[in-house]
Amino acid sequence: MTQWVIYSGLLIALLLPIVGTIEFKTPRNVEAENFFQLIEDNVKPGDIVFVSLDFGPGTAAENLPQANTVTEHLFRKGAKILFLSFSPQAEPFLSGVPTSVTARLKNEGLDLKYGEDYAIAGFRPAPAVFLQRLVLSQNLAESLENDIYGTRISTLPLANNLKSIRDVSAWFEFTGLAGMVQNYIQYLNTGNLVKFFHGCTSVIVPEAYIYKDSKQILGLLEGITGGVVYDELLSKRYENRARYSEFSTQFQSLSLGQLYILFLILLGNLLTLIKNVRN
Amino acid sequence: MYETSVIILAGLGTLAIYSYLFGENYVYRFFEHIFIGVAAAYVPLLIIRDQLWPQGLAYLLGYSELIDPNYQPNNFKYFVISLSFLIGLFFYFSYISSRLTIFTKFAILISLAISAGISIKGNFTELLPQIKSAIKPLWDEYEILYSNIVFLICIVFTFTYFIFSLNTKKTPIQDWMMRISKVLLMICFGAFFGSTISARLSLLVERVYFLSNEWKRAILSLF
Repeated sequence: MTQWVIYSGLLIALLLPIVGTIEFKTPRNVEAENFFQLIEDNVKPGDIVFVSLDFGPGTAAENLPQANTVTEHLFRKGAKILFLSFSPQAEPFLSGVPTSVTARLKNEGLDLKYGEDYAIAGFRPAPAVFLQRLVLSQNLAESLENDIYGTRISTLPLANNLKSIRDVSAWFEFTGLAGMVQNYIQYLNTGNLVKFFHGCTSVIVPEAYIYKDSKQILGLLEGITGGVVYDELLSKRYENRARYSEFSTQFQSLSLGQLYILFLILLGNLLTLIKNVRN
Repeated sequence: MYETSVIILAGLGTLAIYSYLFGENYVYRFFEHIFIGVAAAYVPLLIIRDQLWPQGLAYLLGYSELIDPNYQPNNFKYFVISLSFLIGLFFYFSYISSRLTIFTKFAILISLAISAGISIKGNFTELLPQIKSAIKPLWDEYEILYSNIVFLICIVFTFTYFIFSLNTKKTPIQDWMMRISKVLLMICFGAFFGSTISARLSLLVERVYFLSNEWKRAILSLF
């Protein structure tokens, strides 16, 4: 009986913001602000960047808001993006993220073309071997071989100036997989060779902070909060853009759900205390 | 119509998996088996489509023009691909006969040697900057100084916790330090646990949002 009361309470807490009766203000998030500012300061039109979408449906709730908002920001800054993934489950997002972001930007008159502004390299197994190969390559575009449509990436206009890893301005990675980020840190020699930005789920964020402190990760986005705060920062910078209302609503639900869990923890402790005092 | 049916099926799948909250049941089992079956077939298919075919089989079977129209036949590349396929096949030789296990062991040996080489290099690249960043100045602006002192205390105490746990007889100072380190470790685990709850809740929120928006709309569109 008790468990059903708890489950029902949680469901009500999560549903209240979705049906639109409760709304919280988006909090400040220093890491997201730093991440945003670093892109503003460092990414120039024509820069080639990699975006790794190493997540599947299991963690899309947290990684998708981050990937969508950062990709949009990079496109707005004029960067040329190569999408890839080391997670087999990322297949739908590898085409879904660029498609949805370019469609949004097209509504604002920014027409981005496949092959010129972005390309999708697809799923690649064995990240350690693949990344080492890229780092050592003297013809990086050729080493990437084919995109998901079977076209040689080296023949695409965006890869014209992509000769070595030094030509990559930054690498952005979004994942919910524990241990995935180590592949990039170990083999891309992040911090020295490549500017590395990381978006992760709340579960693995304590692990990511270690690398943030040693500057092996330059920018860090944490969970759904990171994505929603980034969305708000984008809206402040580009006033006419439409916000991702679904991510914002989910964040509101999460906040109320967390408050409910805190309430349960306090209630549990209080009841235990009363019981102990009585005994 | 196709998209609507996909959304309805996805919603039913979500509800079926959450039906586990009521306890073990046939609906949950059925959808769990579907998930395992799809996942088991999906990854090999992806590997064949995106890797084995374009990286190797297409060249070996003479379909290289489908992958790279400008490809010039290259004996060295052909040799490397053939060799890697052969070593890969060695992994399965032990299933044919126990006498052929030596080939499987050879493949494992090569795989281990490569992994070890890659890991050693990678671990140095990962750890050296961290060791460097752990050495922080104790004279700086007040805010940085404060954070660096806390960092130093945490790192020293956490180290001592694991070093002192080797000794059976502890001095009162060691005992006192261990108690503090235990508190620090518990704070750290608490932070891990809190962020884990937050992540799991995010996933639940996304599903609830999906069910109450897209799925509800898809169901209503049927009537």
